[in-house]
Amino acid sequence: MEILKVENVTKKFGGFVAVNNVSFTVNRGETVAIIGPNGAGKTTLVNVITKKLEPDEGRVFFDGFEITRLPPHKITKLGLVRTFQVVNLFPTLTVRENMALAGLSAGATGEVRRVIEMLGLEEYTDRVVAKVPLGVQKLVELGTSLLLKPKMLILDEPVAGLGAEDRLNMVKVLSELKKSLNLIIIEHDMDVVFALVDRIIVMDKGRIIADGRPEDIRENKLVKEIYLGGE
Amino acid sequence: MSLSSRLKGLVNGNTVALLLLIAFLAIIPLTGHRFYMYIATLIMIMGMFAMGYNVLFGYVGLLSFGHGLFFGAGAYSTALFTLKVYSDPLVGVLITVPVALLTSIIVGVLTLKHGKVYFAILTLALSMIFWSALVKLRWLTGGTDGLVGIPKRGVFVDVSGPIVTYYFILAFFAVIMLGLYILNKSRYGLLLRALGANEDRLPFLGYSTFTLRMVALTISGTASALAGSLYAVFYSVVTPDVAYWTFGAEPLIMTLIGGPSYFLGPLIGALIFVPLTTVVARFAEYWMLLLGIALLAVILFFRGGLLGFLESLSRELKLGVYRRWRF
Repeated sequence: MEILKVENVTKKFGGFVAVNNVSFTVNRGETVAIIGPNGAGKTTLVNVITKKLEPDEGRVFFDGFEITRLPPHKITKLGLVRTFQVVNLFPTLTVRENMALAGLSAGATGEVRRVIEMLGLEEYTDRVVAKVPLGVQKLVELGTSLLLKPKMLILDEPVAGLGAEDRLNMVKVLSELKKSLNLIIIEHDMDVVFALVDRIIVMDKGRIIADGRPEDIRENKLVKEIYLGGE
Repeated sequence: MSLSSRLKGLVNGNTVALLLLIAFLAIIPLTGHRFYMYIATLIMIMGMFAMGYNVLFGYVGLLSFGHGLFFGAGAYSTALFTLKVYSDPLVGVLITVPVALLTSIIVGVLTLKHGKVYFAILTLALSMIFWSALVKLRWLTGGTDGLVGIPKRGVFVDVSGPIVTYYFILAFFAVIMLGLYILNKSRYGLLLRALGANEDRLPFLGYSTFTLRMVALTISGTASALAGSLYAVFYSVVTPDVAYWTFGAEPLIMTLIGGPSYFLGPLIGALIFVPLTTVVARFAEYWMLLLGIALLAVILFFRGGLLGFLESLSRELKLGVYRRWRF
């Protein structure tokens, strides 16, 4: 049964069509990656789904509700939660305060400490977010998303900019999360993608050019030519 | 969380400083010096105005050029109510609260959906419309002469003596300051600071930024209107000057002087600004020039205001004290 349905979505910036008539569905329990070269329209698509951007055409449904005209805060309340390509937190607030804001929103203030411990952030709790390492900031953003009690979590390049150790740690955390949560992951690191997902959607020039199981996508000639190259 | 741990969370450098200031203000009448009482009263009124202003400016990051509207709405609602409806200063001040709530909602609906620059200009425009109405509606507002003889004696309170007036204003000052402090420490204070830190993030945590801004504007407008109301009780006279945009910019100046990122910043600014404008202005012919130079110095060299300067100094000297004075 589907949890997310994207129907003929188009987004233009002037004459440039960033997302061109894109349709797909995500079923409950599925972990999906959206991959593609830079400028393929992956982040724009997520921005349209979560209403950071208004679509020019098309409709989006989540958990049985049409969300095309809803403001982002109402979409979040429905359980569709996202992270950002560039970490998007409250830089002047502490790690605990950032987490508390999410906890307050979802009535989960009692969960803040548990999520901090689960992500191993205890030593950073009272530090201002702007002054903690990027790997920690990424985990804080993930923690705030989890406190929102999502039904689906969209992660925009969760391991981008992380060192090898932080990258492994993030994959470990996401592997656990996918057992209980619908995930959509936008990622360039193919090792991470193949390690985590059940299905891959490949985009190029605003369109979906392939959609299938990781093993099929790996062998897809068009995908190899456009994105995976000699991999 | 238990009551004792909640209370512990509320006690810090800001609370101690605030309580000491209130205690200090409370003993000023004992000196019997009328001029000190006059200056202290103005500090309380303008301090309330600036502290209310900073809920919008320092917490949320919205610059208003129209806060004279709220101050004026408070002053005129108290004046009109006590002169024409019910002659009691306490009821006259309390009636300001619903007036301020209504004013804030109207201003918010008209200004809050258009971005920060337009908010600044729209608040300026609205305050000028309000000021023009005060000047033109002579039959109601007395025009440029304003309203005189605002009663100090009523059914519930009699504040006709200067000392009683002083303590009447001090009581409201204390309540508003403690209210703003509790707000600062509450979850709503955290939300307002988050709005100032990164408003684009909040919708993706499930919060409506419009609603949060409206809450901030309402709190800010109500505190400013109460300051205006007490101003009317203090002077027994109100004129349209209190709603003029230059007067509405004074809390901004006080906030910049004290430090907008600090809870007590605007009040510290009032402690400097009020004596400067009332005492120095008497002796210095070019005091506006001096004020301009002082403002330039603050903005160019002491961006965080006096408290920001003290924080930098404490960091240099490795004292690490003043950071606790931030929101």
